[in-house]
Amino acid sequence: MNTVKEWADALQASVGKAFFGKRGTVEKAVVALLCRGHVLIEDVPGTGKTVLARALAHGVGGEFRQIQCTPDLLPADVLGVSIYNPGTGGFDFREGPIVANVVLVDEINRATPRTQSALLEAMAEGQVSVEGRSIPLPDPFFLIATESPVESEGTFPLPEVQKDRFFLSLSLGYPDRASELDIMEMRPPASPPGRTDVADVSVLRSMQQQILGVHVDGSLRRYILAIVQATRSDARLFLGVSPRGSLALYKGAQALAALRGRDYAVPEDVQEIAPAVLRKRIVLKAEHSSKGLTEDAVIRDVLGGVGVPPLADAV
Amino acid sequence: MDEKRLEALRSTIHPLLSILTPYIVLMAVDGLLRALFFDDLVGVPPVGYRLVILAAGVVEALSANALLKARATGFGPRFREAVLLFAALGLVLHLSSGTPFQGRFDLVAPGAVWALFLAAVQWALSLTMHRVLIARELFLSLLVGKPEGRAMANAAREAGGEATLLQEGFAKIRFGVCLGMAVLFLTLFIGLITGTSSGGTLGTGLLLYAAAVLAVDTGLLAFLRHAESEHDAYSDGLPIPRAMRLGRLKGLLAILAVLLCAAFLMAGSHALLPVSKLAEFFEWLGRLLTPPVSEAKRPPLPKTRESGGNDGGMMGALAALGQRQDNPLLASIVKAVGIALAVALALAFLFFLIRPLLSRDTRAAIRAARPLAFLARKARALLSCMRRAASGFAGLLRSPRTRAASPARAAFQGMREAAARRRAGAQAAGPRSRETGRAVREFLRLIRWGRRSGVDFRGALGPAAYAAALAAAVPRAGEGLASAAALFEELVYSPRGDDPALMTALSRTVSGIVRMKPERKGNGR
Repeated sequence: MNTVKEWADALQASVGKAFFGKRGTVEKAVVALLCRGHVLIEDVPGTGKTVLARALAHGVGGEFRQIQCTPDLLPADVLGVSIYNPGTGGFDFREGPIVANVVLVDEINRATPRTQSALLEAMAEGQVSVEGRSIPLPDPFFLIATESPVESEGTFPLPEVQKDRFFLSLSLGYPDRASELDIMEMRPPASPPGRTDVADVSVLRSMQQQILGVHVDGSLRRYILAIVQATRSDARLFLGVSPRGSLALYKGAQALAALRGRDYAVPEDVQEIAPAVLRKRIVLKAEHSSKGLTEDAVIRDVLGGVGVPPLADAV
Repeated sequence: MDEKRLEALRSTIHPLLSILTPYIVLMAVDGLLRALFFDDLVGVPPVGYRLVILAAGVVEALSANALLKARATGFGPRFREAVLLFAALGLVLHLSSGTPFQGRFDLVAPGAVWALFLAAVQWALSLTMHRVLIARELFLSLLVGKPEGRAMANAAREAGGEATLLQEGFAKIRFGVCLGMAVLFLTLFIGLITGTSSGGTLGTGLLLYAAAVLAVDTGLLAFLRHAESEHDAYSDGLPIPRAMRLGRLKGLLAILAVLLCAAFLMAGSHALLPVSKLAEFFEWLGRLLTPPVSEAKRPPLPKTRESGGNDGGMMGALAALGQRQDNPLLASIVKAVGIALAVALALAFLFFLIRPLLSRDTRAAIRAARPLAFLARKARALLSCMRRAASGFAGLLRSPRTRAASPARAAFQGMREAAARRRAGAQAAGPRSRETGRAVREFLRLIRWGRRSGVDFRGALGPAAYAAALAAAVPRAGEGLASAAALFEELVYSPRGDDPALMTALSRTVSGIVRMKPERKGNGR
């Protein structure tokens, strides 16, 4: 499985040219890419969300498009619209920016729920329905959305169903001292990186196929199930993880194992990918969230409470 | 208030009340009137007329529930039900009252008319009472599932409109019961004063009927009182406990038992079901089977009309009108129009009666029932049954030796297949489980060694994470620990778990580590 590892290393190196530090975060984004999932990047302004998304998009290759969300953005602006053609006397369909290999949806929570829901079908089914016909999206289709959690005015929080559509959510946080120094010294500052094309889309498709062959032992599958069930019975949670969440955890562990050069997943893969996969798939009860409890803390507790087989059974 | 009790009220208790209360009152009134006044007038009652009257009440209760379920309200369905019911009851009464098979067919036999009248009264009384009790079901359905306390009180308050209707209905029932009792006792009183009795059944019969009526009325009035107190309790948010409800029921049953005992005692040596009634039945059966009287012996029918026209009623009048006009063509037209009108009216009435059978709901119900599929299923089941029977018969015909050998051979085959399955399962899972067990034992050695170094194992830690924690505490064993964790994970989680080389490497690595002297806590600081 070294092919996947080499490809991922090259991609991360390419992204690292524009986005400094946070290697773990980049690695998780690559995991989502390998699992045919979509990524939600959420953090305070100015931490490099858009830069990471653009760097990833350029690193992956394929057709890239960006949608800057605003409250007056309409579904037709995303999906496409039929325009009258005076020459032919008929209507020609002009596809929207969603029809691309890599789509960056910037500040998704600024779009209205109507526009947000237009993305649902694209994310879940890999196709869009416009004017009574279904248009398949190109393969691979990778959507990176960014949102800022601190600005509430003029924003529309994503519904739970749409959050569940994202394979994983990432939070960047402030860069470390050295990375921030690199950012300041970078010349020219914040320029868009050139397309590196470490992988064209056909290579990416091949990588996506390869990770499906990563072995996940039966005991590990039961471990994933135990984690998911623990979230469903946790008294602090209003909503536990869905079956889609357990599937994402399974696939995420496969991809992470492949990135580490293994053809089998280990419990540490599950534990490492779990916060990113499960964070947006659980809902805290109001009385706990008002006391400052976070989703990450709950996931940490859950992981700390579920024994890893077979050692936990034997000890 | 729970759904189960509401269903019991809806399906059993309320229908029984609405059927039996009017029925027993009517039977009492009928018995008294017959005994005292007009037994000679109405003649011998048709055999089984009491069952016919009971059937009127039963049909009302069944159709009321069915119509409620189908949300069919209004005059039309009820009228249709009444027409069909009384047509059927009239037919049954007529067949059981006269001797239609002997050529006598009297539609207005006094006994049959009286029985039909009683059936109509039974139907109307059951209808009235059931409507009130259905209103009670509606009221109670609004309280189903409401927890005791404020929620129930609020629900009862919101159902105030239904409660008011219910109270009015209860008042009507109470009035009806009082009226019925008054009529009964007035009849009894007149009978006792005048001392008249046409059949000689005044003594035991009257007392038995009076006891039964008293029991029913007491039961019904007690039921109404209980229902009202229950509704009051609901409006306070307090459901009446089940034990209290059962206590009231027991009291009611005790009253009924006492009254029945009294009735039995008063009946004395007279049987409650006289043998004479059975004799009447057999006599009726005998009359029914007697050959018809020949035309020559039959007394001549009285001449009612000189004109001798066979067309009765409307046809006769139209014919007479035609004759007065002295115009054969006009007479024919009038007659044809009359016939057309009569046929149209008859068809319209018939259509009105059968219209529900043509409705979309009925068609959907028939489609849902899938009668052809049902018949096909039944046919298949029958064929299968026949095949099994034939096979069983063939088995019986086999020689004793063959019969004995066949089950034994089948059992042996089953055992052999089970053993093969077990072997296959052991081959698939055995080595892997064995290797995993050995790997776990090796890692447990490492964990015991780690404990001596002050690093305990927690179940939620993965092998590599534990090895890293242990390496932090015992840096000189770091390389070996990482290698041991990787080997262990490969043995346990990879598809190469049965690789003996890996197992040997793990054993060797762990042995190398545990031979090291454990670090004391705080040595590294």
